[in-house]
Parts: sequence; structure tokens; C-alpha cells
Amino acid sequence: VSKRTGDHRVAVNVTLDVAPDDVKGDLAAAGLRITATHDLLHVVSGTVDEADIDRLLQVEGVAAVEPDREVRAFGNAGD
Amino acid sequence: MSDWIRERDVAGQPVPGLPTAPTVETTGRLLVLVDTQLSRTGRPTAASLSRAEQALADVVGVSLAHSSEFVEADTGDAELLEAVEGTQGALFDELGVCVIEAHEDWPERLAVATADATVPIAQAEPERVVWAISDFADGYQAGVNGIVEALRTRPSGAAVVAPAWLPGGPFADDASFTWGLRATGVPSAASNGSGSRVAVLDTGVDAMHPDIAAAIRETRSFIDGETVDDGNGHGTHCCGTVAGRRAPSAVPRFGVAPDAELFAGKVLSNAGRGADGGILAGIEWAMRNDCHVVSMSLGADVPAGTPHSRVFEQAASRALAGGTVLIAAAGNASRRPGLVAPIGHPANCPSIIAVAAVDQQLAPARFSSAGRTGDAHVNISGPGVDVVSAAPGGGHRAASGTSMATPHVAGVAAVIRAHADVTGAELALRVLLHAQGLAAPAVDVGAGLCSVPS
Repeated sequence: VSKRTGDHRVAVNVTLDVAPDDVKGDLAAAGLRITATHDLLHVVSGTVDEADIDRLLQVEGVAAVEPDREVRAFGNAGD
Repeated sequence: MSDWIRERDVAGQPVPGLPTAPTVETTGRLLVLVDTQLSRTGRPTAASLSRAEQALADVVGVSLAHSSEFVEADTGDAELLEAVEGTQGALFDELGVCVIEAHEDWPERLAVATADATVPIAQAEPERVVWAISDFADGYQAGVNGIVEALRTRPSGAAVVAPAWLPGGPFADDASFTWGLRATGVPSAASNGSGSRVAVLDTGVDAMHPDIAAAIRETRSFIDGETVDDGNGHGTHCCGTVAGRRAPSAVPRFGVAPDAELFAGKVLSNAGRGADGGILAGIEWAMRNDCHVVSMSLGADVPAGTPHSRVFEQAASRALAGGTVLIAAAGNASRRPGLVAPIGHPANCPSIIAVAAVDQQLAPARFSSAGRTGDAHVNISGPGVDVVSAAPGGGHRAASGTSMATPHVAGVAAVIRAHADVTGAELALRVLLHAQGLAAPAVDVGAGLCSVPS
């Protein structure tokens, strides 16, 4: 389940081949509103219009764009 | 290459029709399982390893480097691989498994040797995957799992033999320890995890719980509008399993590593739900706090064949390179025996240790997801049925799930880490090497039941 944030924007996580600081401007120019930067992981989180995802993927240094999936606790299986 | 693969049954005879290695990327090297006698701790004896090493020298003229030598020399991961590649092969002493180069006629020679019951060489097959060093433990384990699976099962998949060192079951809680701690060897553990830092990314924690409070080093909430207080109970339960104190009130000890330092990150809401972004933030927080282990009893079920997340795989790879091992629950989507569900996200990432759950008979729990399809593998198992641990408000409760198995493995990792200042990849590998073999297929339980060194 991916998280929708309203209109056509979706929450995404973007993994990078480069340090986030090196491409933040390019990501923003491609339509990404950055909500969190994980420098050690080379991942940025944010929201993007669905129509801009392809543009985001064209940014040099972007390895993958994935929806911010919902996760849950894996227990209690006995209940 | 699969036409030369041979396996032997317990009587030493070739078994036609056993499953061969799946069609996957191979490295040009061979994994060779040698026949060894096991000590009481379940590890091959030095004498039997020596005989096997001589047999390999006789059959293919290979000289082997010993993994114990790398450990003693405290080499880094890159040096370890370089050392392996610089020789004709490496013998992993604790497993009785060799990795050797595959010269032209060696597969055929080894196939003949495996058919000879007098030669202590049990099986040889192509090494399936060698990834970047951060993936070493998982890739290597996948190969080992294949060998173990082939040796322990007939074509029908029915188990044929339980290892001699398998402890007697079924296990039950006693006055001193929960069944899970007894099964994983905690009563005779050499340490309690002192100096190890474990992050539990979950629904928060009851930081005032008398059985957990002393272990908590830091807490943080990544859930908007919620404090780190655990309004669910899941996180407190998991924290308790990792580092509950030695002598809790009213119940037997349930903490695997009571001297470990706990970092409780709230990435799931009080309703038990969260999102990838929060987990990634929690992983980064754990890394910045120099945590050695991250325990994640969470995830999302995925349809069979779903590829793993590249985002999480890269994150896990970077964490491992930075000295942090990620451990995640495989999922509870199975309804055995009729339905066995695939491993969930993010445990299906190769660089994350995927944890299955076993019951008191050390059989796969009915709900435990497994690595039957795709590239995801269960790496190891932990006690996951009727597990007693801490509950918010100072109490205790029993719960079941791969969520409960995962902090057992994290606690074991903390204990192992307390013994040696090792890299993330080596810690992951040691956790797998210390597992007790189980009779169940490796696709269900991986390397076996997590176990602390004694």
C-alpha cells in the first residue's frame, strides 16, 4: 500500500548513487518535495506528483524511486 | 554444470533425483561439504576436519586456508575475500564447508569422490552467488542452505535425519528461563551482550518497565504526534526479548542479552502501522548511534515473485558496511500446512537477515513465511510461539509471531558481538554460523535456530 498525500502526489523514497546534498537541487527541479534526508543511507524521502516520477528517475544519481509503503508489526500471530 | 552434482543419503549411497542447485548466477567456484564428526557443541572436530582436508588434497590437490585463521588475524571483510581468492580455497571450520576454485576436471573428480562412502566428501556444487562484500553473508548462506537442504531431505521434501546435536524438545518455560532462551542456549551463554548496542525499531517502549528500564540507552519517536511511549505493546515485548533483565519479577528470564544497550525507535504507530520512510529514518538513527544490530519485527506482505526493494537493499548494504546488521521478521502470512507465504518486505532484501519462527518442537511455526520463491531466503530462525516477555505497565504477556523470533536473533547477535569487535558483515556471518541445524527444510528455517556461544 503506497501512501497518497492528496491530489496526484505520492510519498516516495529515492535511493541515490551519490550523496543527497549533491543532487538535492536537481531532485527539487524534477518535482520532488523533500521531507527527510538520510545521508548515511543515501536515501531521500519526499512527495512527488505521479506525473513527475519518470522525470525524477532521469535525474543523474537517482538509482530507484519507490512508493513509501505501509508496514505493520508482524505479531501477534497468536491472537 | 548441474549434471555433475551428486548427493549422498545417510547411508553413504548416491540418491537419484534429489533436487539440484537452482538456475542462478554462479561464480565459477565450488562449495564442498565435507563429512565431519561433530563435537558436543555441534561444530566439526579438528581431527575430522583434518581428514577431510587431506581428502580434498588427494582428490583435487587443493590447499585450503582456514576461516579460523582469518578470524584470529582479525582481518577486514575485503582482506578476507582477497585472502580466499589468493589461495585455492577456504575451509569454513565451523561449518565443514569449503569454497574452492573450479578447475577443469575438479567437478568430475569431486562427483566420483562423493559417490565413494570411504571419502569424507559429502557434496559439491557450484557457488551460487558472490555479491559485494556487504552481501557476503547472505550470498554465502544461500549456497550453504542449498547443500543443507539437499542433504536433509528426500525428493518428497520429508526430513530424513535430525542433526546429532539437536537438543531435545519440546521446550517449555521453567522457573528460570523461557523456552526460547533455553532452546537458544542462553542459560550457558558466555556473555550477556555487554558493550553491544541494539536498536529495536517498533511501536516504542515502556521505558519505565522494571525489567527493561536499565537497558534503555536512548529512545526516539519517528511517528508524528506520538511520543515513544508504547501504546501498542509490540515494541515493549520485542525490547524485553532482546535485553530484559536477568531476574524479572514473576516470570522466568526472557531477555537474551540483558547487558546490551537498547535504542528504542518508534517507527510504528500505537496502531502498529508505519511507513518505509519512518523505518529508513530509524535505521539511519541507529547507525548514527553506532548500533551494531537493528531489530525490525515489522514489514509488509508481498505477492510471490515480488522483487525486493532496491531502496532498502542499498540502505541495508550501507548499514552493513558501516557496522550495523539489519535483522527483520520474515512475516506471518503462512497458514501451514496448506499455505506457505513468501517472505515479506523488507526481510526479502539480500542484505537483511530474514528471521523465521519455530515452535517449542523447533518446527516451523504455522504462520511463518518462507523463501520458496524468488531471490528471498530465510536466513535463520528464532523462537516465535508463546513467547513471554514484557508488556506496558510493568507486566508480562505471551505472544507469537516472527516478530517474537526476530528479537531473539538480535539478542544472539548482541551476545556474539560482545565476544569480538567484528565488522557488520562478519557479525552477520557469525550469527548464521552459530545457528543450530534443524530437521526442517532450510527454505523454512534457514541455517537453523539462532544460538548463543557458550
